[in-house]
Amino acid sequence: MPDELERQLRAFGDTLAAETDEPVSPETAVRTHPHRRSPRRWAIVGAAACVVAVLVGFAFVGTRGSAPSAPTSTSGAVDRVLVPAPDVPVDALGLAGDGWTLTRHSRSRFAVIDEIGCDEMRELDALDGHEVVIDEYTGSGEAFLRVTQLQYADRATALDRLTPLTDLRDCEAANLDGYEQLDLDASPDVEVSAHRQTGSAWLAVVDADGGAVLLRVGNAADDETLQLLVERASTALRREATAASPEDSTTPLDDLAALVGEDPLGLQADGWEQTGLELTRYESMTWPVCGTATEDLEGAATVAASYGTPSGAGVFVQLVRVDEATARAALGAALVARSPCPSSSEFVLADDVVAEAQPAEGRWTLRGPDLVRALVAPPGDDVLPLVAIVSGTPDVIDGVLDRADAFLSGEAAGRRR
Amino acid sequence: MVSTDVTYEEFVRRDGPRLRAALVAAYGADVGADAAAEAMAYGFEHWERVGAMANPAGYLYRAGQSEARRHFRPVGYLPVRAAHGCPDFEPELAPALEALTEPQRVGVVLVHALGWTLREAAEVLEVDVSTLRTHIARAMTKLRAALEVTIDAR
Repeated sequence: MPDELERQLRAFGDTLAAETDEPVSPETAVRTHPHRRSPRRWAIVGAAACVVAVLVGFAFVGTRGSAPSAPTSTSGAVDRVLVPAPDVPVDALGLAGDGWTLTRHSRSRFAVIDEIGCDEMRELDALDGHEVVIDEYTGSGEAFLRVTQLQYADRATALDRLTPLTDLRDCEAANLDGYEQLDLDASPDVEVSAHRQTGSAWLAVVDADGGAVLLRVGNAADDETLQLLVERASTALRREATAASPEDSTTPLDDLAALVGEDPLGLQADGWEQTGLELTRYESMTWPVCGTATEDLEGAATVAASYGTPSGAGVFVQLVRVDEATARAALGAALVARSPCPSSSEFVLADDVVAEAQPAEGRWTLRGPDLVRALVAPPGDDVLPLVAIVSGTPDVIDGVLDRADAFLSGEAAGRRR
Repeated sequence: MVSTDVTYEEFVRRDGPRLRAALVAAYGADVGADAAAEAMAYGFEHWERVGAMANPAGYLYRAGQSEARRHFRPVGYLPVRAAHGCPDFEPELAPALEALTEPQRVGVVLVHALGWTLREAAEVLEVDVSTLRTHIARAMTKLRAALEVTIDAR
C-alpha cells in the first residue's frame, strides 16, 4: 500500500503527464523545430558559412567545450568587481615536456563555473568575476590536465571559493563512488585541498596572498603525478608573488565588455535578465575552418553576454562582440578557407554543432541544429562584428534578431556619420 | 535495449515518450520537452550512428541533458497545482522536488510519480539499478522530511 508521499507523487505524476501529454511520432519529433529539420537546408552552400562559422565559433569555443564556463548561469555579473589575474606566462608550471602537451592557453573571465560533482551538474561561483588563466594539456592516452590560475583578495577568500570544488562534503556518502581526500605535502606557505575520484582528481593550491592554482587531472591521478603538480603549482605561485605585473593587458576586453554589458538590444526593459558576462582572450588558438582547414589566430578576444527570461524556459540570448583585430583575423581566415570549404553548407563549430548560413540583406543569419540562430554583422570597416545567438521559440528568435539587426543598422549609420 | 535493425520511426514510437518523460522529470515541462525534441531531432539526423548504439535512448537522454543545461531555468519550473481532472497534491511537493539533486529528482519522478520500473528508468538514465535505487531512497527521505510526511502515514 503506498504511503501518503507516494500517493502525492502519483498525483503529481498525473499532472506532469497531463501537461506534457502529446503523441510522439517520428513526424512530430522532427517537426518540432522546423527551421532545422529540412534536409534541403543542409544542401545550401555558402562561403558565408565560413565567415559566420568563425565568428560564431568564437562564441561557442569561448563558452562551451572543455572550458569551465557557464553562459547560462543565473548570477548577474555586470556590476561585479573584476579581479585581474597575475601576469601568468604560458605553461607557468613547466609541464610541457614532462610528457604533457600544451593544447590551450587562454585568459578568461567567468561569471560562474559549472562543474560535475556527485553525478550532477553543480553550479558554483568559485571563479565569479575573476580573470583566470587556463592551460590545458593532454598526456598519454586520454589523460588531460587543466591548470587554472587566478588571484583572490586573500588566502581565506581563495580557500572559501575553491574548497567546494575539491571538497566533497556536500556529496552524499553513497554517491562518492571512490572519492577520497588526499594528503599531499606542500610548502609551508601554501595550502592544498585535494580530492580524487577514480581516474581524476581536483587540487587547489593557495598561497598566503590569495594566489591560487586550481588543477583538474584526469586519468593520470597517481600520487606521484599529483605531488609533482602540487610542487609545480607552489613554485609557480612563489614566482608570481615576486614578479610585478603592472601592465594591464585587459583594457581592450573591458572596453568590449562595456559595449555588450550595456544591453545594446534593450532586452532588460522587456523583462530579460542578464545572466552572465564572459570575457575571453585567446593568446594562441588554432581554429578549424570549414572542416579540415585551420587557421592560427592570435590575440582573439570575445565578450559574451547572456540573457534569459524568468518565465520563459528555453529562451536564451547570447551576444558576442569581438574586437576589430579578431574580426579581421577571423574574416580573413574565412576568406582564405573559402575555396577548400566543401561543397556543403555543413560545418562543425564545436561539439558536433553543425550549422549553415544564409546571407540576408547584407547580414548573415546562421541557423544551427541546436535551435540556435545567429545574426552577424557583415564584414566591413564601419561595423564591429556582433553576434546575437538566440535559442528559444521561433517567435522569440525572430524578435531578438530583429532588434540586433536594428541595432547594427543604427550603429553602422552612426559610424558612417 | 540493443537497437540492431531498429528504424528511427520504431525507436520514436517505442522510446520517444520515455525519453521525453525523463527529460521533463529533470527539467520541467517547457525545457524538458524542448530538450526531448532536440534530442530526437539529433537522433534523426545521426540515426545511422545513434541507432547502432547499444542504448540509443540513453545516449539521446544525455544529448537532451546537454541541450537543457544551456537553457535558463527559472525557479518554479515544475507544476505546483494539479491539472484539471487530476487528483490534488501538496503544493509544496514541487518546490521540494526541485530542491533535490537532478539524479534524485529524475529517479523519484520516473519511478514514483510516473510509475516506471527501476529497470526502465535505469536504462534510460544509463545508471545501475542499485545506484538509481539509492538516489530514489535518498530522495524519498528528503521529501518526507521536507513535507513532514512519515513513512507510517497511511
